[in-house]
Amino acid sequence: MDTIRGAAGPPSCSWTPPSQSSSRSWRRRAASVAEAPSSSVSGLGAAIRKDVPILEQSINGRPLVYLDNAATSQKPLAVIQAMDDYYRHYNSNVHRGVHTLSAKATTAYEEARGKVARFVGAASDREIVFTRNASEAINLVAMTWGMDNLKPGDEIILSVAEHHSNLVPWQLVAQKTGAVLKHVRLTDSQELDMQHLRELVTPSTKLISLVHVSNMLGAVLDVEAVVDAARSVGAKVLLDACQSVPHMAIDVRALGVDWIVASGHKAMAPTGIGFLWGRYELLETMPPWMGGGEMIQDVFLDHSTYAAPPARFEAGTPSIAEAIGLGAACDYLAGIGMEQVHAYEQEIGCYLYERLAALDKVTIYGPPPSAKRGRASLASFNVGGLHATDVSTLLDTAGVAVRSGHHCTQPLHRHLGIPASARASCYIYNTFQEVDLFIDALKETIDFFGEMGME
Amino acid sequence: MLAAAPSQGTCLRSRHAGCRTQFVAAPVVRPCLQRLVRRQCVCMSTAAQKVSDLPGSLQKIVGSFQMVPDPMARYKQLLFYAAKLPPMAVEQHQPENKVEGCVSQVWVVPELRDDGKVYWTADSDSQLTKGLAALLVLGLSGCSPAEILSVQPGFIEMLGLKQSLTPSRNNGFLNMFLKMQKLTLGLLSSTNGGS
Repeated sequence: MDTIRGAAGPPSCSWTPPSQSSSRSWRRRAASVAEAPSSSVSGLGAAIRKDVPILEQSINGRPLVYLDNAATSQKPLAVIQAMDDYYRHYNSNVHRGVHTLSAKATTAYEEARGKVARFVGAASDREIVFTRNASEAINLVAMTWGMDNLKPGDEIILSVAEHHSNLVPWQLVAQKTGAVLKHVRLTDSQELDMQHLRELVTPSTKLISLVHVSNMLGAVLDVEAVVDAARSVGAKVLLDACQSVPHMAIDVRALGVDWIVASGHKAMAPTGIGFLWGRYELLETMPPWMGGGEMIQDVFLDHSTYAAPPARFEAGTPSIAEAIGLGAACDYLAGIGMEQVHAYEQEIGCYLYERLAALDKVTIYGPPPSAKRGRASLASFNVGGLHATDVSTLLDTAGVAVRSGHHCTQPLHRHLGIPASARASCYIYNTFQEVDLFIDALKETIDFFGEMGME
Repeated sequence: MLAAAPSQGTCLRSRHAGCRTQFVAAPVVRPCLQRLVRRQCVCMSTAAQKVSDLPGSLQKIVGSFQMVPDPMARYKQLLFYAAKLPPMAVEQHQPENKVEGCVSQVWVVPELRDDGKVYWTADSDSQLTKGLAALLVLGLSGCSPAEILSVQPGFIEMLGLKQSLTPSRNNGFLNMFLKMQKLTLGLLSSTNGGS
């Protein structure tokens, strides 16, 4: 089955390319990847780089070009320092202590919750449940709301493009409850097909759980259409916002969904912390999942009463330092302004797409940047005749970090008829020069295999 | 005097000279009991087998790789081997031939011929992985089942590829090798069962 290219036509980026460097071989490269900061959005990458210590290093004798941000992001000094500060000065268990350190830790932890709440436009910080990551957050909804509400024949609508974490928990729930799973297909431009969604929705549909921004296709969901379709039958909506929360302004009240999930580590925060946002009235109806300390009110030997949300879903000692790190990341990103972040990413994402699209034999997946809701600043691609892992292995020798494989979307790759893909994904500290370096290295890689007789 | 925690030292087993061992010395309460402490050698098989112990075909391959100085040249060498690999029929891309735990798809098929030796074919959709498979095919074809089963995974270290390959690829290579040994065992038991 031939791979489907995105819709034809030149992407209409408003960005003007900076003077393109001649195609220098990455073997002879000498200049650093940073440029002088400018006040325009285009200079954002260079300005942010200075705050992110890990980026200044060499890989195999060449400057690191980190383009694996969809997998995880790098952290600014402010986040690293916030966690260091916590452990150096006020580490203490939260919520139960009366002493000074405990009070400080609790305040910082709850303040972090408030920062996350404001970051996503929640009505109250009581609507933010800290989890280990987005995967845990989805499992939380599946194992509480899902197990409590789904009956045989009830329908859950997912899509062929979902990350495994938004597929497998529902498979487990469907097995236990007898609910039925349905999957939205892609359009020709490789976005989620809203017409197909409307055909799939029936009065038995209880939940629509879809990815906001696809980590593989880069497609952006028509959330309004999804919410309309859901409300028409009284179904709930869960949004996998892992690739949207770090990259654009999110307002959960404006989106009109019931839950969103996101992971901190993709948004310049540490690993080990993520969150579930849910409408409070809905969280109140959800029974506990993990039992233990903190999530209770009164405990007897044979029964207990449970705390109100969000505590109800946070058993045991939480990842305190990580939550504080997440709060610091929200501060850092809010300091830049998510509108700025998004604008920059649209520019650099468009540049990445255009430079890749100009190469022979390269197929890029997902819609073009000119699509109605744009596309993420990532590009999953394949080079004709080469396996994605071979490409990414050679790119690593040039210091370029991309990911290859199925990106936790095996069904999507099967649907597209490809065994694997390579993916370059940008964030706010990547520069246009880095995109150039990546393309140069990719050209060299293609030539290398060409010399060896692999076409 | 309490003995130290695991430390490096010379293996006490004479046949394993030069191997890297881990000592687990039991803590001693009184000096007079020291002699009763038994040293447990947990030999890591990485260097337990010398190049000269390997089947001749595999020795050649190991030798050619040990000479290659830098990562890019080693990749070229791998691709060269990939190109040399005899093709495998698509019909043989079956689950029972597939190597689990590889980042790409790899299939290996053994054939026990009348001369009592095993001959291999392999295929992969990734060129570098095909190169690795080719190493094993070329290195282990024309060997008797006993020879194949005598090879220890430590030879992988001798190739000097570790720096060039990510841990996931190294594991894939190990898995390929172990699969080939498993298939060889299967050949042996089916011939023994038949006799």
